[in-house]
Amino acid sequence: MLASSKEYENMEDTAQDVGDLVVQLQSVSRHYGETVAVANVSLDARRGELVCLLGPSGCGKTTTLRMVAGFVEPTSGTISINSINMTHQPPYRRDTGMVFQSYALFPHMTVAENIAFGLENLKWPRAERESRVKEMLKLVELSHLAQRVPSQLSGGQQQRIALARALAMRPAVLLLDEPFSNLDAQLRVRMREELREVIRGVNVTTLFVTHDQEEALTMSDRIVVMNSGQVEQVGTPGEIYEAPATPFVAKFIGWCSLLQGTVGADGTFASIAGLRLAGKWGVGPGTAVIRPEQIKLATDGAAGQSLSARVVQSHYYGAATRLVLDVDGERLTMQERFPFGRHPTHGDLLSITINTNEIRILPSTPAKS
Amino acid sequence: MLTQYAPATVKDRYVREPLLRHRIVTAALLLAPMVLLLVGFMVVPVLQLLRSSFLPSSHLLDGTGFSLVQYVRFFSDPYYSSVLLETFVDGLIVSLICLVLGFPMGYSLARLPPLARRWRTIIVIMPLTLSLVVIVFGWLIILGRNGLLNSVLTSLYIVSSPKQLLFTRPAVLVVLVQQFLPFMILSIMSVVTQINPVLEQAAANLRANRFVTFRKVIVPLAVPGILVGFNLVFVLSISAFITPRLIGGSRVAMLGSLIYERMMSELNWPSGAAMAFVLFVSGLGFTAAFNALAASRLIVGGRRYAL
Ligand SMILES: Nc1ncnc2c1ncn2[C@@H]1O[C@H](COP(=O)(O)OP(=O)(O)OP(=O)(O)O)[C@@H](O)[C@H]1O
Ligand SMILES: [Mg+2]
Repeated sequence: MLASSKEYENMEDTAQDVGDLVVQLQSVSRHYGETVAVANVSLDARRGELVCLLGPSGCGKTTTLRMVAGFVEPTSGTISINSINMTHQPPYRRDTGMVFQSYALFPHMTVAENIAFGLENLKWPRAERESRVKEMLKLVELSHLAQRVPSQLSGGQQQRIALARALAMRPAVLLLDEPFSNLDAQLRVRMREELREVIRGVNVTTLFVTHDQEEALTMSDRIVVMNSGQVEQVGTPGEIYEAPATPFVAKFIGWCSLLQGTVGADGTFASIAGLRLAGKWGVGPGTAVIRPEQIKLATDGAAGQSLSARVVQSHYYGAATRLVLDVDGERLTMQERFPFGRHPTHGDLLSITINTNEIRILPSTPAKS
Repeated sequence: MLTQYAPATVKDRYVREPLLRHRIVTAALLLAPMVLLLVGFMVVPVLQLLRSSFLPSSHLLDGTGFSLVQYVRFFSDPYYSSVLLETFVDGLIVSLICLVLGFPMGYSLARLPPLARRWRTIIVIMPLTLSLVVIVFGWLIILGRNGLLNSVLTSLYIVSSPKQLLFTRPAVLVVLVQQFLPFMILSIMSVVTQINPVLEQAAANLRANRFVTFRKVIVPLAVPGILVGFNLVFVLSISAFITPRLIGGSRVAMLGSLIYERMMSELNWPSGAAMAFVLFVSGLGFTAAFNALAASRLIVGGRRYAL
């Protein structure tokens, strides 16, 4: 490209900011009649980044992803891929590769033909097409299945072929809509690890939709938490988990207990029902976020700070038991491993301590990030 | 037809034996009335017709003996062979036109939400509920020398004087297309509803524009429906006799109307029966060959695609 050296420098400067943004959504909304599926969502993904859209059912994750792919047109806002405005371009002009929830492999084509389909449409020469198909099959370790048709594949195999098919075209962005929802629990964890490895290997920018917080935490570089069409918080898994910006995020990630209340002049939090937590928080009304792991069974030495708790629900998870406790009229969730045969049941009384040092209090009018 | 798995093991079959017997009995009971009806009112008359086509005389009543003379007469007269050929060509043309017109229609119906699809489907089926005679007389009014089409054409000065539209081959083809189009539309519709629309989205995501998606995804997956529709329309067209007789008159010969004339006007049943069987067997052979060809087309690169 011809450009004067000064302009070139400028371009390089901005390349850090804009050129690296592979996907960019600016104030994107989508309405279905009265329903607002997606409201004013802005997000971006940098080169090679794995960004996850996380949220409960119906919060607009799929709609957002489909707008990036071009299957749904935004009511307002702009969508850019590689800094080119793609808002009104049809799907086949967009540099995306999508793995559908149902995989959507072509039933009348072999695995190899499925993978070659995109390359044919991109007019790759035959020899390159064939070597790329081989390469992709090797990547997903299914070279021996090249001549099968999709109906002869297992769910996990179909998914890997769908991934290979999407990646074969070397898309600027890979789009995944709940790619593990059709797999059983064990396969899901294995595929998750495999998928992450493959994505890292080819270093493709990825937008990933899930409602499973564990999936989001383990796989993503950044998480976009959505709630009823809006972005609640954007951050790394660590930020989202450790420093939730809103009560919704706190509740959605990691079984937190939320207590409404106020922080008094001495920095002590008092919940509406009357539970008091000693600390040094800022004065004013707020929501205390208490994680299960911040509640421990009281040891003998800590008798002074211990609270009495009654077990309301007890859920056995094997490695741990999740308890819902009634403490001074508030419901708190804790997680603990109990010795075999000593699991608390409904109505039991326990003595607990709360590690107040790590508890966050969110101001009542949460500042949106 | 192209099964890929043999799911039932011997053990399976052993375990399911009583259930299987029960199923067979139920199936037999359910089928019995239909089978009786078909045997009594179709198989027996057809066999009688077959018998009469081997009679030497030209009358059914004094029918004794066994001879191939009716068939020899048919095949030795080039007129009949050319009518047979013409009938097949007409059948193919009608099926093709129905396919071209019916595919977009069937496809768009299949992609509508069920409620919207329902009343549109009723409109498509409506002509089938009318008596064929009523439809044909309707066409006579439209296509006649002083009919609707001619008066429109002359009043718009597109033609200077009324044209001969009735009793021409194109008129027969148009009316046949109108009659049989619903069968094609319904066949296409039913197969396209089986094609998951997400496959079209997947194709679009894989850089296929609408035309490529149509050619490489929709048509191959719709082949079973296309074949069903094509066969239906073809068979209905080559055996049509009211339309060619009333719209085509004596100038347009299709085998169906020839058979009708031979039997009903000349009362020469043995000769008509022989012609009917020639049409029956050649039609069957033709569609079988056509389907075999279409199926072999789908076995590409050693891969089988289950129909
Ligand atoms: N075609 C449509 N017509 C009308 N409303 C729609 C349509 N598609 C989505 N919606 C609505 O938009 C909202 C968001 O839907 P979306 O599919 O994006 O949710 P989601 O976050 O993917 O949920 P899930 O986790 O259940 O898949 C929902 O309330 C849904 O009912
Ligand atoms: Mg969804």
